[in-house]
Amino acid sequence: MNHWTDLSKKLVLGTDKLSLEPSVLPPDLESAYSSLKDNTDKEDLTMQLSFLLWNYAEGGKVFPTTKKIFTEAAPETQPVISKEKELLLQSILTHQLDDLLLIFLNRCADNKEILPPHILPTIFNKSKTLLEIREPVLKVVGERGKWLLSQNDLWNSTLNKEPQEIWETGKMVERLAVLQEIRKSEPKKSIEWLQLAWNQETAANRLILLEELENNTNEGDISFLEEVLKNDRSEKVKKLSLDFLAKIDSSGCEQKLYDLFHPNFEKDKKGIFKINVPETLSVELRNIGILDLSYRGFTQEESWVFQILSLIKPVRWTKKFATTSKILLEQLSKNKATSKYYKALINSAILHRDVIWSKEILNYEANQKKPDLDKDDFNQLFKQISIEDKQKFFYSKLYSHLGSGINLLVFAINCDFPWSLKFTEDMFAALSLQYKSIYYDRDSIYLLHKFAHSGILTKLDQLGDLRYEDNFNKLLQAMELGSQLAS
Amino acid sequence: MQYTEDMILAKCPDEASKKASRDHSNPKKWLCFFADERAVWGEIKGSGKEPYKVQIDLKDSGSKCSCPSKKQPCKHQIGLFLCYVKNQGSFKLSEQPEVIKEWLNKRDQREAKKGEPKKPIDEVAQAKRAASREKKVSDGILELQLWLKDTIRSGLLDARNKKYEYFDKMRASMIDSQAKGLANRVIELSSTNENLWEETLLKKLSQLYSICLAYTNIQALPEKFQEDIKTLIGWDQSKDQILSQESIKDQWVVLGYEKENNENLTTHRHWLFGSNTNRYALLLSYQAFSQSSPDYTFLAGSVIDADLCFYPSAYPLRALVKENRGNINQTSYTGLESLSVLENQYSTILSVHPFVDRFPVIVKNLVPLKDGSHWILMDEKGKYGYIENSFNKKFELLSVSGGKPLDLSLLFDSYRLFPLGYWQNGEYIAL
Repeated sequence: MNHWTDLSKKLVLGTDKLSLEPSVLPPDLESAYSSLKDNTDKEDLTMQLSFLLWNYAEGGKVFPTTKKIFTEAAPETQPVISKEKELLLQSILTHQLDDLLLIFLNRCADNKEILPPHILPTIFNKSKTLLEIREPVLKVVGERGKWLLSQNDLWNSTLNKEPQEIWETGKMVERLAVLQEIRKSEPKKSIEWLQLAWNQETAANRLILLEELENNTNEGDISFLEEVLKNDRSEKVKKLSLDFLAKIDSSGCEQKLYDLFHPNFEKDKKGIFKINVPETLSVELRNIGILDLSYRGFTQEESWVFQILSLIKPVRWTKKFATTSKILLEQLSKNKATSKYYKALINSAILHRDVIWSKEILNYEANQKKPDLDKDDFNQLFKQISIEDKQKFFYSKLYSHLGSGINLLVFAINCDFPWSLKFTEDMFAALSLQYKSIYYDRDSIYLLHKFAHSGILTKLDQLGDLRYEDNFNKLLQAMELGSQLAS
Repeated sequence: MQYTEDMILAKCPDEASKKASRDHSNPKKWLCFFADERAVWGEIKGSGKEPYKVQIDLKDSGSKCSCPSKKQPCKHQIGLFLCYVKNQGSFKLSEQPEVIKEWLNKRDQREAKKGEPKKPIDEVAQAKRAASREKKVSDGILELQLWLKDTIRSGLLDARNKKYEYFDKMRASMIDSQAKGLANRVIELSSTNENLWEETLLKKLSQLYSICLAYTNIQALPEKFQEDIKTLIGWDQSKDQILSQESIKDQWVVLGYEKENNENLTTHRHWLFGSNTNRYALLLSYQAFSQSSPDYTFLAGSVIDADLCFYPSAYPLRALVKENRGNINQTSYTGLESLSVLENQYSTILSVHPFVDRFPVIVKNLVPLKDGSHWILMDEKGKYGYIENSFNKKFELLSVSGGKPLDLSLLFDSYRLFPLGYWQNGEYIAL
């Protein structure tokens, strides 16, 4: 222990028992000690010697030395992106335009260009949460990036882990992302993964994971879904697995439901649609998976009917009654006894992605005095219809009659097709008129950059003051970056 | 002078302001914008009835905006500056409007005034004030010395366990004694929680005691060191007096900039390096909440052609700008060859100014490395110093180096190193 440390330890308990011998100081400071030794004020002497000693120790301190060999990054073999591209990338990162970032990185990877070293930490940090960029990131970070990854366990494990390892050890958000990926390319494997992990998951996580089967739902899912439907403890999970089974024709689930239930849905002698609610749930229906759920405003028996109607393809009814979806919707909703099942038909149109029914429901709602279409249902139904019909909805202003939660912006964001310049101009003009009355969702306006035609950027005068609004400006910025990226 | 986006964004008061400023850097947001060699100005629509008028002095990046924002510089000022840097070509070259001319004239006059002698001082009244203050300080120092002796008598552990009030009471007493430098050091004693706390606390206590002792024997000290002791006690030296001294002309690289917010006061620190004189300087300025802009608005990474006057000190570092002739392009630099040289330099500095605070230094050929959980800077001979934990661009520095040596500017604080920037292809990049 050196003199300075020694003195500080001795002074922890004060000066009472402290003996200030010459040995308190190193030999070099002997002369200094002799000039102070006659000082009878112990605390004064302690303070002076302490400072002297600290100064001596500090002045004589040296940096430590190591003989360790540290690695260097290997020389780059690919060119670094130009300064202009770097500026573009900085802007994309600043505005957090993650979709453009993915395009940018893929473009760099295609051109076999790499990113400059100072940007790499930002990109690696981004890829912790943005799973879709992980693949291109590894292609554009060059030797420097590979070397840097070896210095950061978190980045390294995030980017270099095998998907299966992420699935087994990652956070929920990461696991979900790899499941999504594997679901696209290897749906069978996604089921194997789910089967292995299923019993360890919480009910909430099971529901989230099961939702991923929405994509690529196929015959290979049947046995897993049936198993879940039979044994899972969560009603929500069971219900969702039944939804998926009903979507898969070869499961026979929807057919069986129709066969068992269709006698209950009939037309009376006056030609009025009538739904007979069963008194008990038959063993067959229970075996298919119909649950004793309770919906608000429904009796237990009505809840069974609601579930069943939500699962049967809506086209079955138009065929059975040799009628149109329009007539069926109208009559069903206007009749007090059947109107509560109208929402079940919306559910079934969404579940079975029925284009005709989706369009008809939207038309029907738009023509109601008091439309009451849920925003999520609108999004789902609108997704099904054709581009022409989507545009028709806009020009006939039908969107403005679709329900309180659906404004022009919500509608515009759902117009997920490449907009023509004319459509862009018209949409922006409409937005500039209505923008101030939209009190929510404004910050999502930047999403329109994915569809809007960049030609509008030369006609901004038409937008008036709207272009100075922060969120709208972000949209224009994103469009500009997108068009720069395209060129 | 070539301004960069990073240099400008470093002026933002906070992260939210950076984001807003970037949004305002889109030319399409601006109703109009113009520039000439000296200034940039433009108009932008805000929430007010009239568009906001924004102007930037390219000489020292000073700026002004007519918006009512309390944040300074506001998003419009930074936004226009960024817009100019990114789209210089689209700025129309124009004759300065009257309002811009007036503003620039005022700035020039203010700059020139800094070098002019002020009106004569009433020396008798001044001497009376000084004598009264000296009496107060001397009395305060006696009180503090007694308190320090009591503290060490009870031991370091007892001092560490004392409540905040124990220190705050003495701090207040030092404020009353017009010794704010001592007051600040007293309150620092209340927060000694790190490793080696015994050493740290003893160092602080004995330093404080020695400052008091040095003041009571001030006449026996070297002349310049006397000024350091007075500064440590809390004496402010008159800016006019400093500016009336001989100045040092140089091309000063702004190595780094730090801002520290403390209640109603913001402290700005610009660390400079003179490329001809190889001198370092610290421009320290304080900005009250009500003050619209700080004394200096230099951007880290820029180079200014300026005359500086240094505060007298055994190790002169703090300075004032006497004349600023504006920004110039990157210039040459020199630095220490190894950490051994830095060790020697520090010893020398301590021998003339044992209370020296952290100081800037350029060291060549240092390799930033991650050694387990430690971050170090290593020289060619394997000597290394630890990087301050608070430095938050460690991976950026590591990535830029790729494990190879860089010429770095640093703040040295008792063997802890805080990187300020590095040179790459002859260009200084501030971190």
